[in-house]
Amino acid sequence: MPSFVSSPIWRVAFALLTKSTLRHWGQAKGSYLLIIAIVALGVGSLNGIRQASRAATANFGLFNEAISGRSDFLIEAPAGPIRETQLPGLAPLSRQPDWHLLPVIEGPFTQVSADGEPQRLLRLIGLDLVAVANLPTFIDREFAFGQAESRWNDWVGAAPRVWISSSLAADSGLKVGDSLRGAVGGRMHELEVAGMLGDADNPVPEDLLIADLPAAQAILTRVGEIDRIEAVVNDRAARQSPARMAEIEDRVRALLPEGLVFRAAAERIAERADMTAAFRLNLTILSLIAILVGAYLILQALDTAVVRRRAELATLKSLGVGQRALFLTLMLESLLIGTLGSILGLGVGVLLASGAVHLLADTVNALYFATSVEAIRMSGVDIATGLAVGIGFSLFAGLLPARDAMFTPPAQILSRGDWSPGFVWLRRPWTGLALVGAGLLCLLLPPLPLAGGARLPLGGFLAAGCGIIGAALLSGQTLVWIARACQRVAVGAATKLALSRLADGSSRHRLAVAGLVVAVAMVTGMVQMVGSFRVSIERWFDVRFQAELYVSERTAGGASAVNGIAPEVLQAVTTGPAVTFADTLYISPVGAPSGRTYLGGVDLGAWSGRVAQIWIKDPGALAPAADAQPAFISETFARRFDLMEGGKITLATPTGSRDVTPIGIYADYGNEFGSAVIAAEVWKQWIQADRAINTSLYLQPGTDANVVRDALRLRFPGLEIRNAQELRTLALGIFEQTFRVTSALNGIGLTVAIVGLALGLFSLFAESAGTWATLRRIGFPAKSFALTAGVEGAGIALAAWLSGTFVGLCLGWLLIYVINVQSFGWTLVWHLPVGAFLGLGASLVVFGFLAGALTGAWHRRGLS
Amino acid sequence: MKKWLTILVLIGTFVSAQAEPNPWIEPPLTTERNFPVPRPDVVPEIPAAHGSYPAYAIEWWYWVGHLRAAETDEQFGFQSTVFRRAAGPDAGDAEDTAQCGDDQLFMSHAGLSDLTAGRYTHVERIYRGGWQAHSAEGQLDLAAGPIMAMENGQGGFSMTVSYPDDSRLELTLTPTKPMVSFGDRGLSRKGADPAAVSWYWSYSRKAVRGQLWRNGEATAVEGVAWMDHEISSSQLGSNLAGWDWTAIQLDDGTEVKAYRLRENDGGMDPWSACYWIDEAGEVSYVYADRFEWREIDAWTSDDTGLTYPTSVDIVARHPDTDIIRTYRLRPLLDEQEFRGNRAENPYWEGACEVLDENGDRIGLAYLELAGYGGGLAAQLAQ
Amino acid sequence: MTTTATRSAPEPNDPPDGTTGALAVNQLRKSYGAVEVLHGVDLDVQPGERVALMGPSGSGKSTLLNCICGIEPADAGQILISGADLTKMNAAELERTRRESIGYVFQSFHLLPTLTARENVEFPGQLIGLAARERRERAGALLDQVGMSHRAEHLPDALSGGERQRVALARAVMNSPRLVLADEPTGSLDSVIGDQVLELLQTISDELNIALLLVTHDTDCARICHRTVRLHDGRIAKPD
Repeated sequence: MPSFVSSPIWRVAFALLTKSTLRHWGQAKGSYLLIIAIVALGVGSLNGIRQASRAATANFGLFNEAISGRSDFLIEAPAGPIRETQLPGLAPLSRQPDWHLLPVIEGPFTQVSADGEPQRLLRLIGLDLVAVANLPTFIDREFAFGQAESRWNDWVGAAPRVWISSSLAADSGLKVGDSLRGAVGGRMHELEVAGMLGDADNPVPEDLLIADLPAAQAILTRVGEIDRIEAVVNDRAARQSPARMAEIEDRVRALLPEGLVFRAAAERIAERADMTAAFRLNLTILSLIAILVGAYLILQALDTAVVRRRAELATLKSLGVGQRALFLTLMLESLLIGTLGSILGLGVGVLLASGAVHLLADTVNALYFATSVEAIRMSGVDIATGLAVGIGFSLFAGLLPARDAMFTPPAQILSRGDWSPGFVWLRRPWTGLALVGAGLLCLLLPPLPLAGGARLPLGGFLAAGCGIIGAALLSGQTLVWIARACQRVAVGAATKLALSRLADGSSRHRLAVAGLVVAVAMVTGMVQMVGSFRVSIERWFDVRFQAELYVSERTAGGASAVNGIAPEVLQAVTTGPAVTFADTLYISPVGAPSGRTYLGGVDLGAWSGRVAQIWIKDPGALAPAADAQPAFISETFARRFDLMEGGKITLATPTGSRDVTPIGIYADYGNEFGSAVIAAEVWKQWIQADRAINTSLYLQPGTDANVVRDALRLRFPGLEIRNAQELRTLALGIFEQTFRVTSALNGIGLTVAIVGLALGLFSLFAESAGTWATLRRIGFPAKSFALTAGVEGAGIALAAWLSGTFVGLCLGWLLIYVINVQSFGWTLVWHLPVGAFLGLGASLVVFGFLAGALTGAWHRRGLS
Repeated sequence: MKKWLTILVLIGTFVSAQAEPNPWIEPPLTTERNFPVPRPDVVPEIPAAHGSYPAYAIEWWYWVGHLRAAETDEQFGFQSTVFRRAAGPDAGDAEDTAQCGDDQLFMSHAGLSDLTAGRYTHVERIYRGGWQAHSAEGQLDLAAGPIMAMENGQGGFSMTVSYPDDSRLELTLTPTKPMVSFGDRGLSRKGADPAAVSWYWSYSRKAVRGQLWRNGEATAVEGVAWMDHEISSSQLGSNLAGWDWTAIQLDDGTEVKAYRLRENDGGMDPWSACYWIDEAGEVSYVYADRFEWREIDAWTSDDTGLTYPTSVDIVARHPDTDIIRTYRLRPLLDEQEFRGNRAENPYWEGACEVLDENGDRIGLAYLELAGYGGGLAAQLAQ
Repeated sequence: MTTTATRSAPEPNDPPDGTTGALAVNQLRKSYGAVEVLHGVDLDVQPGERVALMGPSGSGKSTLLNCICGIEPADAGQILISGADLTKMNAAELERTRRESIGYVFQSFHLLPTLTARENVEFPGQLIGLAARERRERAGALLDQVGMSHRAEHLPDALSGGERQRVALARAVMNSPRLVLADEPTGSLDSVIGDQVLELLQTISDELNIALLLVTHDTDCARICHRTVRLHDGRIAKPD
């Protein structure tokens, strides 16, 4: 045991902890369980968000891992797919028995019900089902595609047969030999179910479809193409040795033919992780804010406990227990609360994650890439983070009450009357002003570039944090001003008494206001951002989407759940008699100087004219650079690659590096990585593909769009065809989906703050016991007690709402003009939902009044 | 007298008929699954005989050899086998140019015995015909997993075999004797089923030179090898549990090949045979009634628990000289068990020394003991 | 009243050597803002001596007591507890003095609500680091002495006012202080119980040779004391 533990202070603190603190816990189990639960909720929220976002984004692309095991290396083309004709060049690499090479192709397959409605998005993976049998994991898991080797060719080849997961089979009622119907690229397919994979011991993702490579290529109409070649090291023990893996990597690189690139699998995972880095970081920051507000609640709760034990603390002081011993005792109590709450929070985190993961996966699906949910896992880092955050925040929250306790005067002094700790620093404005000043300075910081091309607006976030806390510390003065102003017009003894107490601006009143200001500011700021986003998107829709019908591949949704419309299908759709013009978009990811971006192919002439856009820079406003392909670029693209005033950029395409130069900048809220569009014919040459992602149909004047829509739907069941209203509804639905988590966190933060207000009022009134007793002796009516307390509560809420709204407006400006621009590179229309703000204020004031009145009445009863 | 002579002739005919337990059985044109069956009296032509016969159901190329390091005392044995199996009788109709084909399946087995260090390395891979495995017609051009072999334009073959941990053998194999064709009328029979025949063409002795690469360093090696190329559409009868096979290269420049086809009930199938190849490459042979395969000692694998009779005495009466020859095979390394990716069909295939009755070394051999873990018949029946 | 025959009891303090009193207050002054509450108070208490401090409300009795136990700093003058000058001590030293040299008996008892009677008595011993066994024995002897052994395991909630004050008494002398300060010790008790408590105070003071400064406005309480000192308007009145 460390020597300090036997020192007198520690000895006394432990004695007090065991004989006094824990016995108080036993007497007020409910209160302490609540405090522990608050810590658990805070830790659970943080860990839950982390685990959920990890599980939602972890299982992307390498879906076949369940079958083939974890891949160690990847071989890819620098851009676009690998051609099958490149495979013989890999034969020398393939001959080495130290690893296995597995060509893989994958694509989305939308399962469709009997009446043609999309049911779910599945991932079709094409593997060499013969070669995969060499893989150690495959052998270990005792998978089998066929029944007997002598008939091996029965289950390989180009015939459309697939193996599905046992869970999908159970869910869809499919058995071997049944037909799985679905759409790819606008065409309908019937696939034969050749077998089931996976069981309870060896689960495979539910949405996984496995086919032999030639079969998958045929279904995806990508004959001759391969997405990547995965390399699995044969000796699994070698994976644990970095030196061995480095040696293997060197050998692979040495044998790799021209035209292919080597990538460690971890890089790909990191690249995918980078794509969602900003998204996940935003979520983490939001959950940290939730914890901060939770810490405030813990502070209030612990302080209430100190107030309750004031007399005991005074006795201890009079018996000679020192300040440091009391401080240490209270901090040990915080430590215990933090530890128990954190341990409980780890379990809560798993529960919350399980609930949130599908929500997040939907968001990732909608915004980034197709992902399949992996099981929620708690790693050592999660445990350490949860404990550190929970204990850390509990200790932080316990500091003030511990200080409060250590300054409690001895019993001889306390018995003289009401006493409250000074919290002198709350009355001094310098701390708040300094924080606000620091926040303004932080605005000067440039955004932090993240791997993958995203950017973190670090200065913006720091400015927001400093500003909120600084303003919260200054908000107590608002309370005093409001109270003094109202005092002039107040009538009635109860109201005057309440206003006089508010105008006095005690430290406890200021603390109660400060806590609520943080939550109000956060909510107000977020509501503005979400509202502004919505308004901006609606405006964009109104301008941009003028066509009558919108045609895309039939899919259950998702950013990369697209294979493209088959060319012959596109031809048939766009040359219908009712169609005057089709605005067709081709798109492909390409490599950019940092990370990736998107290159599109369109009718540039039409984009300059009949197809409306919101132009940030009109076509022709920018002088094109020489020897580069002219392009329209999105605002995000322009900001990300510093092309707002024109210039040139080199992109990596399947046919090599290509230069593009902007001749106009348009608004686009579609993706945060930006896009550039060039002439469609050039795009086809560069990308060596000819599948469009969508087309917008402009119809003959007077044509009934819905009639044309219905006819097209009948003729092309593999296509999704929507009119303008339907598309708008869909897009806004995705928008709502992406902000669901934000709304949830807003709700948590506000709830926690309101409960904190109630606890704060409780402490406030508890410390005024002497005053209440006196009032009672002089005949102050019970109803007046409630009214006084209610007015105090309402006053605190009003002051917090006013201050918080002001801060929130500043935060909104920050979010829209700094954080959003730096993170995503797009300009939003600032929208102030005044009605929502007023509603929030009214609700808070009403709640503050009710909380105060009830607390006051409770105290009044206690005096009887 | 005449009557007695007639009776004697009749009795003699009967006796001589009984003395021929392996009469000629005419093979059918196709198997039940319509694969072509190898025809009798086919004279293999070089180089086409080394190439693939894709229409036939089963084919393998098999090399075993004994190597020694030119500058040190190290000794090695190697076994490289590529099996081909056709998907169906139309597999050979047209060349399958797909990178992931579905006409042919290849399995390669590569084993390396470091007899000096007492270490055995082996690797199995299975690939479909395409970019990872192919066998050309018309000449040897074979690649399947870690094994690659082709004509070297100088009457021999070059072969590269890759082993784990970046080891590999690079060899040049040059026949020193003409190719032989085993069996009656050029058909090697493995059972009473009429279709159970194969073309079985071997080089009983090849001079080998090359390098063994280990840890980035090359060791020059030289030695002697044996090659088999067998083509058939149906091999073992369903009454067979497995086989014991050996290729013996004697110091006097002759070779012996013998195999015991083991029946399910433990007996030796009458189509078991023993072949002698003389210095000139002439072949003589006897079937099961004229030779014995005696198990002398066995070795049990710690990994699979199977017991293999790795020390055997082959006692055979030479059909030309009528002299009884004894060949005592003793393994140069116990642990030469080939375990594939799955636990289904391990076999023992290892380098042995050959001793005479007096215990003097008279040559080297490779001994293959298959089917001790389960029935191989199903593996090779079509 | 039981004697201490069966258990080890705190050792009585050394008899006075004539040079070091239990308490010596010299020219003590104390003001609150512009209001001077104590105007140069002089007071001596010898070891084992019991002194009653009387005076009307507002005379400064509580202030004097708070200064003597180091809770309120004096503006001028000297306070010596067995020769140690409190006015020269820092906060830690004052706390230590309160733990080791001064016992306090409150009007409102001020027992720690979550500790049993025994634990309340043991507590000061725990503060000065007494070994557990010695603590238990001492506390046991004191509880015997104050007649509370049979209620030793009860929480304060379960004790009557008189019982609580007895426990508080035992607690006050646990560490064999030089001086016990009693502020209206019978103020919350009825006369019968109050008399019992006073007798206990007297007995303990005699047996353990502890000086007692008893603040009271009740002349009846002063009967256990050797002399009475009157405080009037912040000054010690001359004896009649």
